[in-house]
Formats: sequence, structure tokens, C-alpha cells
Amino acid sequence: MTTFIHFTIVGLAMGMIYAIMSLGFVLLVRSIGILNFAQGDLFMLGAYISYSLIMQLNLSPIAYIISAIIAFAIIGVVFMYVIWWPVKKSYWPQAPIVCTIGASYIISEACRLIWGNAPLIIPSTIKGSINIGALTISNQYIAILIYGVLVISAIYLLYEKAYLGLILQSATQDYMAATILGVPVNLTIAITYVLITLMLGFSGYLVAPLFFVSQNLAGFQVKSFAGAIIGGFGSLKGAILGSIMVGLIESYSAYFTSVYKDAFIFGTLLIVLAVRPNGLFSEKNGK
Amino acid sequence: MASNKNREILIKTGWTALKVALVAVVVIVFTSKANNYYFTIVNSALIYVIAALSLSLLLGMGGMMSFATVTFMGIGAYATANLSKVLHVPTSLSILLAVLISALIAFLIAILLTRLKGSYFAFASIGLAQISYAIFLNFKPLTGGPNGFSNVPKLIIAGIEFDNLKKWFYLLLIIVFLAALSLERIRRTTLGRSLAAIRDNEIAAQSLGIDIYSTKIITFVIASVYGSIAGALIAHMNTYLSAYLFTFDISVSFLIMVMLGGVNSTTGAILGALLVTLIPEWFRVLQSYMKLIYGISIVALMIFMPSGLTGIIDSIKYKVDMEKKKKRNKDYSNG
Repeated sequence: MTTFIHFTIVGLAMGMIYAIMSLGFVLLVRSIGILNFAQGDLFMLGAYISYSLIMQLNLSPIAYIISAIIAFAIIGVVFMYVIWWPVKKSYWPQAPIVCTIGASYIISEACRLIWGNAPLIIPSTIKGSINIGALTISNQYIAILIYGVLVISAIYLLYEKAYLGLILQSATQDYMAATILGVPVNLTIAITYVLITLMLGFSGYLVAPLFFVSQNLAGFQVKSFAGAIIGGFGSLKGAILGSIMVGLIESYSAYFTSVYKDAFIFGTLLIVLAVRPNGLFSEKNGK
Repeated sequence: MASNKNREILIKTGWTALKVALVAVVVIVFTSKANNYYFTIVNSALIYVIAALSLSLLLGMGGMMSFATVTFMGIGAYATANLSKVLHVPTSLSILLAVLISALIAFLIAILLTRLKGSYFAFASIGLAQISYAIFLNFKPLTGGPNGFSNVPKLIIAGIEFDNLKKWFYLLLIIVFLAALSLERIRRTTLGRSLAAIRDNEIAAQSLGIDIYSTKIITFVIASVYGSIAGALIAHMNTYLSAYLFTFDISVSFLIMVMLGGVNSTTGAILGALLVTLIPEWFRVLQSYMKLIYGISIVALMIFMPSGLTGIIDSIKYKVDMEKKKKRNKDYSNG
């Protein structure tokens, strides 16, 4: 029973991280209509930058948060202007997507060249662990849960309820109409990019104490994408629920196997695609 | 008018003859000069050409970005290795069976995956590549696990044993030629044309009565056949298999090959595959920066020449033709 509760909490926490990443996918698809294959690498970059700020520059928590926000925002804007801007009017519609694949290679290799191959260690955000009976849970999982709930609900409210959310999504629905109505399209797209890098960067930092800072962190992206598809790509709700499901499946699969965890997730993905091609939680059936 | 047409035909055959002669000269010079090391590199480049043709079919003709080429390469490779080593099936037959097995698996996967559109398909294929890598690396009974699969029997076709790299080189040249020819043929069939229609405008294609779903499934299966042939050849040429031959990175390098040459061009795929395999050998000093260079070249390719090398050649040709036409029109109006 204790292992079950432990697996559930770990699964939920990882599910939150996957949910944040798949929200990143959905936000970019909603604001410019392309998929970003470099999500995982931005996430990893967040962990590496946090390592430099905390371990090498020895910043205090508040100084860290401020400088990290600035750094992530700059990365977001640079990412937008290098990877998306030059190809946005390319006659080959897949050019911007392929570009993000290139970006993923560049970021991960740049990290390897700057910080080296060896996994780096970041101390936990909140040290210690909670003991409930025989159950021991690292505080880091609790921190991830709190961060996840806050970020996910903020993004959900922003995009589904607030007026600003509609403006942020207007560019992809009708670029021309949005411009005519006076929406500063470039600004809204830049804001989306910055939001995404902030979300990903800080989740990278929170996950780092559990998994070390290494290039393997980029592998989270595929699982979060699986989550987004399982849940249904059309809606934020689907992406969130699907990703949390993936986190739980991954955690519970530790009962059976340790090497085929990924195969479990993608097996689920294939089954969902066969039964409900639009995802489990999508609102509308058909196309 | 007639003489004009004759002249055009003459010029065309002249060009083809020139190209054939050029390839022949390169092959002859290469085989007389090369040592085993060069044969190893060029042979693997030729095998990658076949895999790149598979992606060219999916991505260039069909607009489906697939990273699952390595999956089918792996299935082909491990299937033929097991059939020929464990079950002692003759190698030429085992390659055929491996291709059949891979096509069957591709069919089952295609039923699920081709329902997804555009980038969703691409991501699902990444998932597939990751699963297959996990299985190749860990499933000991069929793949030998992390130690790899050694002592795959040598290929024997019609009594000829392919035991040295020179023989392999000639065999691979023939196979690449046949593969390229068949791909060009597919481009001109109903399947190729409906595929291009789907790529350019799915709704318009549907309204013309094209069955999108089945066209995509057939294409996926054909592409998997190319991939599994490449994999099976790797198995018999190297006589050793490891899961590291079928990683996601290899899939990305196929993507670079196809894009460098020109996404929708058979010659382009061949050119791209040869360049991407050979260039790292020429610049061995930069080995540790190779992936970074890959990444930068992908972005640069997309920004500056999204249609690749053959696209640039085509646009130059087009310009020259337009100049000629202009000149001719001037001559007509003057005379």
C-alpha cells in the first residue's frame, strides 16, 4: 500500500511536469500553428542555466528567480527570432517545424560543449523529506506538485477564461484580421514564446535535483507529447489530463518492468489512437 | 517544328549519356584506387541512400514526416539475421522474408499512425522510433540485447558469395539503381500522383475521389520496404548488429540527407545521402562538433534553401530557360 501511494505521488508529480510541457506544445500550436520539437531541449537548458546561476554564481533564491526570469525571457525571444521568424513565410509548410528539430540539436550540443558530458547535481529546492508511517517522500516532489498546480491553473485561466488569452491566440486563427484589428501580432507571439520558455525553464530546474542535470532531460518531451495525444490535442484540458495519465502509467509500470517503461507509454498511445483517434478527453468527435 | 522536337530529344539523350558516363568514370576510378576503408564508408553511404529514398517517398512525395525509417531498418535487419542464423534459411530468401515481415508490421502500424495529421504524425513516429530502439536494445532472445547480434551469415545470391567489400559495392550500386528507378516509377503512377495531390491539398484531393487513408497506408508500407531492404543489407554486410545502428539520431540524419538534396527529388536523396555520409569523413577534426554542425545546417538549409541542392539547380535552369524564351520572342518580333 505504501508503495502504491508512493508511486501515485511520484506519478502525479511527473505528470505535472509532462502537463506543463504539453501545455507548451499546445500554446505554440495555438499561437503560431507549429509544433516545437525543441521543447525538451529548452527544458534541459533551463536546468543547465539554473545550475550555473545557483552552483557557479552562488545567487540567493530571490536573485536567482529574477536572473532566471530574465535569462529565460531572452532565450525565448532569441529562439523566436532565429528559429521561427526567418522561415515563417517559407513556401514549404514544414520548414518551421524542421527548423525546430535543428534547434533541438543546436541547444543540446551547445549544452554538451559548455557544461560537459558528466551529469551535474543541483541541491533540492526544499531539503528533506516527509515521513508518513513507512512512507518517505522527498520534498522535491511536493514542490513540483505545488508548482505544477499553480502554473497549470494559471495558464488554463489565462487561455480559456481571460481576454488576453484570446488575443494571444488570434494570430494563428487569422493573421490578417488580427493585424487589422490592431493586435500587435509580433508582440503576442513573442509573449507566447517567453511564457513557454519560462514554464519549461523553471520546470527543468525543479526536476533537476531528482534526475541530475544532463542531456537526458530532453527525453521528457516525447512522453509529454504522448500525453498530449492521449488526452486529445485540441483542448488544454485534454493535454493536461492526458499528461498526468502518462505520468501515472509510467510510475505504475515500475511494478512490472524497468527497461520497457517507454514502451508501456507508447503502447498506451497506440491503443488510444486505435480506439479514439482524437484522444480520450477531446470534446468533439470526428474532425 | 519537327526538327525542333528531334533536337530536344537529341539534347536529352545527350545529357543522359553524359550523366551515365560521368557515373561510370567515377565508379571505375573509385574501384581502382580505393582501399577497404573507403569501401566501408561508401558502402554504408549507398545503404543509407536506400533508406533516404524511403524517407524521400514519405516526406517529399507524401508530405509525411516520419522518423520511423530506423524502426523498419531494424526490423528488416534483425529479422533476416534471425532467419538466416537461427533457422538456417538461405540468405537471399531470408532477406525477402524479412522485407515481408517488416511490410506486415508497417501495415499494422500505418493503420493507426496515418490517422494523425502533419506534425502529430511526425511525433508519433518519433515515439515509434523510441519504442523500437528500447526493444532492439533490451529484448535479448531476438536481438542479443546490449551485446548485439554477431555472426550473421554472409549473403549468397545465385551461388555468388558476397564476402568482400568490392563485391558488395557492385551489388549495392545495382540495388540503389533499381530502388531509384522504382521510386521514379512510383512518382508517375496513380499512387504517386494522388499522394502528391494529398500533400498539396488534402481537401481538394478528397473531392477528386482520392482515398486519402488507404493511399497513405500503401505509401507507408512501400517506404517500410525500402527501409527494411537497407536494414537487411546492413545485417549481411557487417555480419554484426547493434541497436546503436537504429537510433533516433540516425533518423534525423536521414532527414538532413533528404533535405540537403531536395525533398522531392530522387537524385537529390542520393546526392544528399552520399554527402552527409562522406563529409564527416573528410572533416574528421571536427568530429566532436558534428552534431552541432548538423543542427546549424538544418536551420540554415531551411532558411536559405528549403528545396535543397536540386531545388537550386532547378531554379537556375528555370532562369536560363526564361532568358532563352525572352531572346526567342525578341527574335520573332524583330524578324
